[in-house]
Amino acid sequence: MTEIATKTVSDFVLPPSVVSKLDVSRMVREVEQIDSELTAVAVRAKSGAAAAPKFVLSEQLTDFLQLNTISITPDGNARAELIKQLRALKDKAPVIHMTFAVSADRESLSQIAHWLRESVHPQAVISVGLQPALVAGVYMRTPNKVLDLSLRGALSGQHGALVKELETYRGRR
Amino acid sequence: MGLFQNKQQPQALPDDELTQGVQQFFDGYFQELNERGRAQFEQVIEQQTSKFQEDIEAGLSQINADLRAYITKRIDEQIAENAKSIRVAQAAALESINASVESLQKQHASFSATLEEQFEQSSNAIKSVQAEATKSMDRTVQNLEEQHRNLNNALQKNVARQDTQLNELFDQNKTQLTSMKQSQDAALEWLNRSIATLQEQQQQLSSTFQKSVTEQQDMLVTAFEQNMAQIIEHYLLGALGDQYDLKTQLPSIIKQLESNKETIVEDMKL
Repeated sequence: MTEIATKTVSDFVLPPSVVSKLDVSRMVREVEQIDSELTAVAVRAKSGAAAAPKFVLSEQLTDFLQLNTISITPDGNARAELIKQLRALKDKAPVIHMTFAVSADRESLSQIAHWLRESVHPQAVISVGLQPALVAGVYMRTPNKVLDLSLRGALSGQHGALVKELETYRGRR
Repeated sequence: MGLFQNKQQPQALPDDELTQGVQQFFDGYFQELNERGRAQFEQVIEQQTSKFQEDIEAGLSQINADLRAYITKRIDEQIAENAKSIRVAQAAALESINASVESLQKQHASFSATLEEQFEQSSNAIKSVQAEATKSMDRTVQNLEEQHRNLNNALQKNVARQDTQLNELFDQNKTQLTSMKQSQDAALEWLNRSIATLQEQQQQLSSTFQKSVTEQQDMLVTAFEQNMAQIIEHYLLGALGDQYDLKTQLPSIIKQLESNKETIVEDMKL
């Protein structure tokens, strides 16, 4: 795997399993824990009690490391740099608020996140909301705009057309 | 000490020892006599004291007896005097009572005489009043009979006058009834004309009402159509609300995102 020194925050690509900013924070915390463990192992190794730890990584961190072709090395400086870059990623990742009419499952969110990173921004994260009055579709808020792609929005826009249709029907009758 | 305390002592001769012994003998003798005298005096005083006490007690008892007798005598005298004065007072009171009884008897006699005199006067007065009342009643009866006759005459005159008035009124009513019949005929004719006019107005109103109902109906249908759109929207929102989960909606969402992709990308670049 590539050394962490060659990767910066702008080079990172988030996998579809990492959906929200909370997922990024969780990933940063996991890397920090691993770094602490490795530091402790290095100290114990100097005193003669060396035992290589085996870490069980989360799915999100594994996907992230594989997608960005990086690894967590025993080198303390490289780990510190990775943590620093991940923290910067957490702060800089653009957030898109998406409100759905029903509760969002993980798989669907992953697909939407995949589309967003392919089409809009490779580091975009989603902030999920729930509003049953939307009926269907999504109500989306980007940093500067609001897009109502819900059925409620579509119906409210079609109110005049519906009245016109009814008048036509009455004329036919 | 004693009676011979101030007795001047004889001057002792220096060589007269015999005289000194005699002197001492006399001193002792006098002292003994002194003591005996004192005892004798005390005995005499005690005897006299007891006798004196007996005399005093006897005197006191005598005084008590005399005092009791004197007081008894005085009380008896006083009681006798009181009885005497009581008898005198009783006699005086009896005399006074007898005098009062005589006076009351005199008053009773005079009062009875007065009452009999007044009773006689009252009886005379009642008799005169009764005579006057009888006379007055006779006069009243005569007056009543005269008034009755007058009333009878007046009543007959009134009946005759009312009879003539009723005849006049009947004639007047007859003419009024004739005129009323003419008026009724005229009113009937006017009512017939009014009915015809009202029928005409009713027809006009009916046509106007039908026109108004049609207009109202059109207005209500228009309002219904306007509200129907909202009802359909509400129904659709309620009916479709829980029908689709996110997986079902996902292709549509992705499609809509694709159609708005440029807008989103441009906003993210800003």
